[in-house]
Amino acid sequence: MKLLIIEDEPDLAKDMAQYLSAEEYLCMHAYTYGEALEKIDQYSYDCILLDLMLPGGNGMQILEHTRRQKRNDGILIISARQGLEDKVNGLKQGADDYLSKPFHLSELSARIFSIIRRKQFDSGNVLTFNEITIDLTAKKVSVYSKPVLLTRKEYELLLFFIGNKNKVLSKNVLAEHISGDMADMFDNHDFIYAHIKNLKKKLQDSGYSKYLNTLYGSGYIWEEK
Amino acid sequence: MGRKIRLLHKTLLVYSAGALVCLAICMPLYYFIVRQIILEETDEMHLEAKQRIELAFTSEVYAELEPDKIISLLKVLNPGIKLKENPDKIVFQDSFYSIKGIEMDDQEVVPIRGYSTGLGLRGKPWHLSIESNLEEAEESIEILAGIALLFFLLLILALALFIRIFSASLWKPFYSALGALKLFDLNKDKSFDLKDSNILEFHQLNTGLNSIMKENILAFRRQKEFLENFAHELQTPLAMLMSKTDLLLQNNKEDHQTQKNLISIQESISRISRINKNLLLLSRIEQNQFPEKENLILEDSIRYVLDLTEDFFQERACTVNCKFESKIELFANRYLLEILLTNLLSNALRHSEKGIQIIIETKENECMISNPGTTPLNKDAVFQRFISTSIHSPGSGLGLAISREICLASGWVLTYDFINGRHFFTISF
Repeated sequence: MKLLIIEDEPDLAKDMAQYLSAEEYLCMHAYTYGEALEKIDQYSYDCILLDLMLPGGNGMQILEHTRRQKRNDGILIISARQGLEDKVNGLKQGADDYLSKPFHLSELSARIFSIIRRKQFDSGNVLTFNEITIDLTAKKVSVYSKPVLLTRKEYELLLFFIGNKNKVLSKNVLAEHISGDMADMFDNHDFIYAHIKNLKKKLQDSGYSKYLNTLYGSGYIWEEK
Repeated sequence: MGRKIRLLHKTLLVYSAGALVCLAICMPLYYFIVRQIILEETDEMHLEAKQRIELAFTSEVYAELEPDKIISLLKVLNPGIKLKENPDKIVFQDSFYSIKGIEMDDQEVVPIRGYSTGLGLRGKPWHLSIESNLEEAEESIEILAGIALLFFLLLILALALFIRIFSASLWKPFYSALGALKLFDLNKDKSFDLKDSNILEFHQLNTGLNSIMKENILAFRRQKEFLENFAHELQTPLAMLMSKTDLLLQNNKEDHQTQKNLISIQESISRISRINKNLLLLSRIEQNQFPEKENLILEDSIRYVLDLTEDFFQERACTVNCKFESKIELFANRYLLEILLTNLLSNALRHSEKGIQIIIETKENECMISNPGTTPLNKDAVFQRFISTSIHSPGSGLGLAISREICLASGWVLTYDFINGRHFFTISF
């Protein structure tokens, strides 16, 4: 799958590419406004990561440009400006999601994952991971075709893990993903243990192949053996 | 500090006190002087009478008349005259005296001024005494004093009125400066400009105040801008740090010590970026960047926030008790209201021991969030930035500052109280 990273910080762009390349994504870069337009016109992408502040122009215009061409590329806005209007405007203009800097690469990966899934299956949106099947529309999970009842948070954690296969995920990152905006108000993220314990137990009871593992002292990993 | 008195009242009081002292000194003085004048006039009149007696006795017109006859004639003119022969030749010196006498007609005690002297008439020694009733004169003095008092009081009254009217207009620039200072709020981003006055002192006061305020507003604005720029500029390096740490974490899966260290770093970076986000939020609220408003029901928002923060309550084994007595409907920004409620709840949670109960109450147009505590917080500092009110809470120090700012921006009032061992944060809508 092809991604276009439009980001004027080369270092950050490279980091994103490095993290994402493990997920079978082919990453292209554009560092300036002109370069971005050029690359968008040359190819189509599964997802475009768009920084709004670019040398040479406003990222918002790139968004309008792709929408005018009626393309189906997923667009994830990445911005250092945390203005709510940016977010609202971006989503109104047809962006699929919005992520404000600074962000965790795992969060980025999970967002891209979900954008691409949504784009690929407009209806009957089903994600399969070996024996695990996730109905993204109904938000239902089944293992070996047997339904597993998950809470909203356990479901979100599962998707996050699958969107970050073979990556070390700290409880901090997981907690921030789960609590969204609220994570900014709280510092203690110990509550995540309980959710993961429950998720693990439910999946284990269903007989899945123990992809979710605890790493001593550092966090969790979803390993595809 | 005592009770405060108004400047104009103070002037008036001082003027009145001065006038009263003046009155207290002047009235007796006035009375004494007038009385003295009357006594002297009477004495002069008595001396003239004596001369007339001497003249009558030596006059050729009365040469034929007996002394008794002359005396009775003189008595018609002045009934107070008593002239007696002084066969013993007692020496009478000229003397003036004041006594109290009894008036014949109505037996009243009246003031009397007398003159006593010895005379030699037609070769014989005489004793002359003349007494005048001063009752009427005394009455005149009283009337005069009364009139003087009346005029004096009128004068004071006029003065007071004058002070009131004139001072009020004189001090007008002062009062308008005072009013402007009272109304001024650094947070409201308004300019401060006092009108110039043609009175030198007020001109100096106003120019001084204007320049101080101008500098303060500027400094405050610069500080805000600095914070905002600073927070903005931090975003990219923070993003770099975060992504590098995330990557490193993936590359050292087997090295547990390094993993642990990296996770600590990651947590610190997350914390910095949280503080950073909150700083930006604060400055955006201050700049009114949340204009979208909608009709909200407070109870629903509280339930929504409680649902979102459920994990944090469970983690600390705390319970929430909701007592919704009134249905509060608001026209406000949803995002800000939710942040406000979350901040107050997280604050209550953070500063409590495990297993306590947090109470959320609504009453009339107020919403109170309370948690148990041992010592009251410092009311002045509680809403300030980066003043952590407790040691065992690694908060960003911005939660309550943001809450207060949200209330300010939405026209609500946020207050803190410590009642019966509970911290109360009350929002008055």
